[in-house]
Amino acid sequence: MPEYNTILFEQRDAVTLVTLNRPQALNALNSEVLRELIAAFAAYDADDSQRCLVLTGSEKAFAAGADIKEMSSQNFADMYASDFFAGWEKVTATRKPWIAAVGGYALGGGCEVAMMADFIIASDTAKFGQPEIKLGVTPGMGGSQRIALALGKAKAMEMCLTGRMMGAEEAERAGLVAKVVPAASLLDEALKTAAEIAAMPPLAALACKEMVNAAFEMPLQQGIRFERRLFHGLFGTEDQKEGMAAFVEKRPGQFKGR
Amino acid sequence: MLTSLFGNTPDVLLTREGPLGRIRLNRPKAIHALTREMCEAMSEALLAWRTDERVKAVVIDHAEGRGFCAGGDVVMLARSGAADGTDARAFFHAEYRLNHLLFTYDKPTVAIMDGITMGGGVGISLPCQVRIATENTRFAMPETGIGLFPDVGGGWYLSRLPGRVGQFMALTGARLDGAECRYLGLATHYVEQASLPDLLERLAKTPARAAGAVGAFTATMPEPRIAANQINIARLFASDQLEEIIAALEADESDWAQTELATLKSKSPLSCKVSLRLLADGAGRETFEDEMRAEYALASHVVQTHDFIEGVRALLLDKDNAPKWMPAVPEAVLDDTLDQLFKPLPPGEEWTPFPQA
Repeated sequence: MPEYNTILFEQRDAVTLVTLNRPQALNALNSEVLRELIAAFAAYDADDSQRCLVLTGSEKAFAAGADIKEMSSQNFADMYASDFFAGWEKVTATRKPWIAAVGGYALGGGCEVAMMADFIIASDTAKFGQPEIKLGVTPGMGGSQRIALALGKAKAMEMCLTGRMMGAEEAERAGLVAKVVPAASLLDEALKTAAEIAAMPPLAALACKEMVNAAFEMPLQQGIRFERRLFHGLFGTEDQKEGMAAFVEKRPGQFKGR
Repeated sequence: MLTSLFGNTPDVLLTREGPLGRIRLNRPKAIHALTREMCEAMSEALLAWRTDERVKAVVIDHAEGRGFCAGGDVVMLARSGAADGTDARAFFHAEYRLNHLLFTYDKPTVAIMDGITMGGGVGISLPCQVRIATENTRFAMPETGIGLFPDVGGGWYLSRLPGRVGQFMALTGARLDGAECRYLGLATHYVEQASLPDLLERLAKTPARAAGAVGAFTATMPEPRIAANQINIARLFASDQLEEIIAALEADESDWAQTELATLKSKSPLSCKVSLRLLADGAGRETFEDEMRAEYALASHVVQTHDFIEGVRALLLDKDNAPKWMPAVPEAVLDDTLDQLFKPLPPGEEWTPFPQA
């Protein structure tokens, strides 16, 4: 039992499972959830036995947004002085891979958190949206940037300016999610994919994540050079020797993260 | 007629329904209080399901009658404690092994605390990953009232609650309702009893997604009453010394403090001191296994004290509700007495968990 009150934290073999659990508020994200997620992701990143993480919500809602009640009375000085929402950068600083398994609503902050993941697996009931404009604000946890990178300008603008919801099927077509699965098998599929990633050589997984993310931050030439240097670097690892030897010998590799 | 797949007691029904391992407590005449046979049968089932590919999640609830689980068979414990204590130790050993097995179980576990959940019932629900409270939940660790202490992991769980609530619960045996349990994190979900059949059906469809499936049935809950008293609890129960807590309550003129003071004074002073020390130790323990080893040594000693035998007589056998505690006042409880009770058992007699698979 609980070091956490708003999330559930489990380890299943090498996969950490974090479930957002404020069902009475459709998993709305308040400062307590953020605090607990920061702690959970830091614990995951620091635990050598853990190789992939799945973040999920309930069948009804992944997360229905930031906690409006908590924010409604804030003024500019409070928000600016506390650098409100900056704490989420601690979640996105996670170096190891993680997946968002989205069932039901992922709206506003919920959509933004899902987009922080390395990729999203969605149930056929998932609904995405950035409806903040209707409240007189905008996305504030990186949503406008990440949705533009995921969907391109036209759809990103349409989503943010109208605040409309996007269903799972359209989200997959548009490139927001990696895969859509039936609601009943969402977690099984996400855990299966996570277990596959967890079985990969861990240093190569870290490098993959770092270089794909670089594609969104660097000009192409620099990104390609960054990739090449990381690729060269992996030839200094035991896992590269083992992986290539195993391939030649037609046997599964035994990886140590060294 | 349902028959159990494990053990040979009718007091707990152990069956597999599709992907769910079902543990249904079935001893309605004692509000499903646990016996050693029940604990051993549940452990046998859990050990088998641990490696049974067909079982994806385990659900614990009660079958016929009211209440989830009122505790353990304390009348047997007191009888054994008055003799050589062998049967009592065997019970604790089996019960704590079950508690620890649940705590370390790697398939999703769900406890449905629909009704009275006390003592031993707390011990089999708090280690579960998904803990469902309902409008019927009445949750408490009332052991200080019968000269015992909050065991089954109480030293671990209660010491990890916010702002001295655990100490308050351990000393006064306060009863919490479902909303209060959810508020404090003792429960992970609040669901109405009427939704439970649908909830079980959904769990059978998505057993791996237990927390998410249960989340879909969450009901709006009433305001948790304890929230209003949390500041008082943190302030008045701040000390690890029983005498200082009593002095703080005496100095506070509020009705709430005076009511809690009267409750506290009806409990065994020895048990209260044991409980405070257990929670202070429990807060710093690294593993639940260490906790259970320490509680087993403590229980083995406490079960043979005057206060436990007298507490069971006064509250459960004669029902005169007038236990004569010895010592009668906190000041008379010697540190040396406590040291003796907390002494670890010699190697060979210590509690041990089930071997890991």
